[in-house]
Amino acid sequence: MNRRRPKPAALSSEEMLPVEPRPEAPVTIVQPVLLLVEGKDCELFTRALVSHLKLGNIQIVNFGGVEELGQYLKTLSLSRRFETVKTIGILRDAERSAADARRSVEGSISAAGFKSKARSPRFQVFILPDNKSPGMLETLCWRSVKNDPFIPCVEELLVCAEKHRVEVKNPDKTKTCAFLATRPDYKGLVGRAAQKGVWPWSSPAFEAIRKFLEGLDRSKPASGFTGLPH
Amino acid sequence: MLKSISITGFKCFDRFAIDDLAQVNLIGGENNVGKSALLEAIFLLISGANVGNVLKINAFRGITEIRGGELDHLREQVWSHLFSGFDAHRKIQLAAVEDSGELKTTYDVHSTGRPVRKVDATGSGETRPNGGFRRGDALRVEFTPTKGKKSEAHLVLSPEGIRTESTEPQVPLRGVFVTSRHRDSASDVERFGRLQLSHERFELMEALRIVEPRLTDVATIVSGGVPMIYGDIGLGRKLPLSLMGEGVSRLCATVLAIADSRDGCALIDEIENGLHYSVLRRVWEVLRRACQTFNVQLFATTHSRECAAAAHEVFSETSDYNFAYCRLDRVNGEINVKTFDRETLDTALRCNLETR
Repeated sequence: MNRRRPKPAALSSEEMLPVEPRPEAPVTIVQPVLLLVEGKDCELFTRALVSHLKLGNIQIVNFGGVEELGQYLKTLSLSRRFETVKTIGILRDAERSAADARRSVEGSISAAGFKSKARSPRFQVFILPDNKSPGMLETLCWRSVKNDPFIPCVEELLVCAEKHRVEVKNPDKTKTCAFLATRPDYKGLVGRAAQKGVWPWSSPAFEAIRKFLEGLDRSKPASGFTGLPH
Repeated sequence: MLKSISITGFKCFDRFAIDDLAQVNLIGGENNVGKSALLEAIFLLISGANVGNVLKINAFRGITEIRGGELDHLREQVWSHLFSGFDAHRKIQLAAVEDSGELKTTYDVHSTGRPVRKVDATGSGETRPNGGFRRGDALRVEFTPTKGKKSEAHLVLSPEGIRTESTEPQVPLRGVFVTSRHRDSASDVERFGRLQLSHERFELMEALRIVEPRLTDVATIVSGGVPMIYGDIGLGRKLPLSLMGEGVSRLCATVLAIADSRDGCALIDEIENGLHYSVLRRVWEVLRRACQTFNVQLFATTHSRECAAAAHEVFSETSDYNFAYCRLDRVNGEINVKTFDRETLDTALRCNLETR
C-alpha cells in the first residue's frame, strides 16, 4: 500500500529557533603525542598542516591562552590516560621576543610540576614564526605568500594607511587579513584559510615548523602503543 | 573527618590510597573501576567490628538471600568476592587517618577452632578431614580505634547458615549507605522520624521542593500497617513520595542519609540518579548545607560532568571550598586516583578537559 504521509507544516520565521553550535566533546587523550596550541585559529591551522603532512600520532589540543598554560598543564596531568603520553609539544607566538616566549613556556612547565629531565612525558617547544624571530602565526603565513603577485598591493595598503595617519598596531595581522580578503572562500582567519588550502605548504617559510611537527610525530614509542591504558 | 584512606586487598583494590579528602567528596570514573567498591570499603572501615555489615554490603549489590549448605557455597556467597582476586588467604586492610589519629579495620578468614558438624561431601566431591569445618569457616574482623583497645568479631558459617560472634562491637563513626537503586523506604521513614525528633532544624520539604515545587506538606503516614513518607502536591490527597518519581525519593533518601549520619559519613552511590541537570546546582546547595549542619563527611559517586560542575560552582562560592573531585582510573591493572582541587577542576571544566 502506498500511504502518503502528510507533509509537515513549514515553521514560520518566528517559530524557528536559532541553531546553537553543537557543544564540543570534552578532550580525552587518545594519542601518545599531544600538541598544545594557543587558541582556536592556531588549532585549525595546525590541524590543516598536520593533515597535509599525514602525521598520524599527534593529537592537537587548544590550551587557550599563554597565561593559562601552567594551570592547563597541571590539569592535563590529571587526565585519564595521561600516563600514556610520551611527548608534549607546545606551540605559541613569539610576540616581541622568541627567547622570552620560550622562557615563559619553560616556566609554565616547571610551575605545573614537571621535571625538565623527566623521560616521560618529554616536552618540545616551537615558538612561532620560526623559533627565533619576533612575530606570530600570521607572520609565518604572510612569509609563505611573499611571492604572490598581490603582495605589493597589500604592502601599499599599509603605506597608504600611514599616509592617512591610521595607526596599524599589528602589521602582520593586518597584511594577512587584507591578503585573505582577496581569496575565494574567505573566512577571515588564518586557521580557516589553512583548512581551505590557501597557504602554500611547500613554501620554505614552513620548513622549520614542518620539521618540528615531523619530529614530534616520530617521538611516538617504537612499537606496541595503542593509545589505550595497559 | 577522614583525611585519607588506604585499602589493601579489598575487591578491585590491591593497594590503593586516597589523600586530601574534603568534607564533600565526589568520585568519578569509568564503569567497573571501583567507585561503588570504594564506598563499600569506607562503609566497612567505619563499621569497625560490626561484622554484620558485610551482609549489608552484599545486600547493596542485590545478594539478599543466603542459603545454608556446603561451606564452599556459603563462602562464595558471603565473602570470597570481598577479597582481591578472590584470594581469601590474604588480609583485607582498611585504614583511615582522621583528626585524632589512625583507625584500622582488618578482615581475614580463619577457623573458629570449633568443628560444627560432619559435612557430607557429595555437594563438592571433596572429602574433608576431621569431619567438620576447620580452616576457613569464619570471617574475622579486627578493629583498631584511634584511642582505646582493639575489638574483634566473627561471622561464622555453618551448614545451617550464618551467625555473628562479637564482644561489644565498636562502631567508630556513624555511616549511612544509599545505593544506586535505593528502594529502602522503611529506613527513610525511620530517619525522617529521627530528624523530626532532633533539635536540628532542617526542612526536608524545602529541599524536596527543588525537584517538586508543588509540594506543600511532608508527613509519615501508616497505611495498612506500613509506614511511608507521604507528600501533598495538590492532588486532593497525599501521595507516597516513592510514587512521585525517582528524583523526589532519591533526594529525600540522600538528605535523610546525611541527617542520620551526624558526625559520621554518608555514602551515596550515583548521587545524580533521577535528578534533572537543571536542579543539580540547587540540590548541591542543600547537600552542602546539610553536611555542614550535621557535621557529615559525604562520599558520593557520579557519572555526570554536570553534577561535578554544579558541585564545583556551589563550593566555589564558599571561602574554604571543602570539596574534592576524585576520579578513579585503572592503569596497568591497578586502580589509581586523581584528585582535582578548586583550581584544577575549574580549569578542566572551563577548558573542556574530560574529568569523568
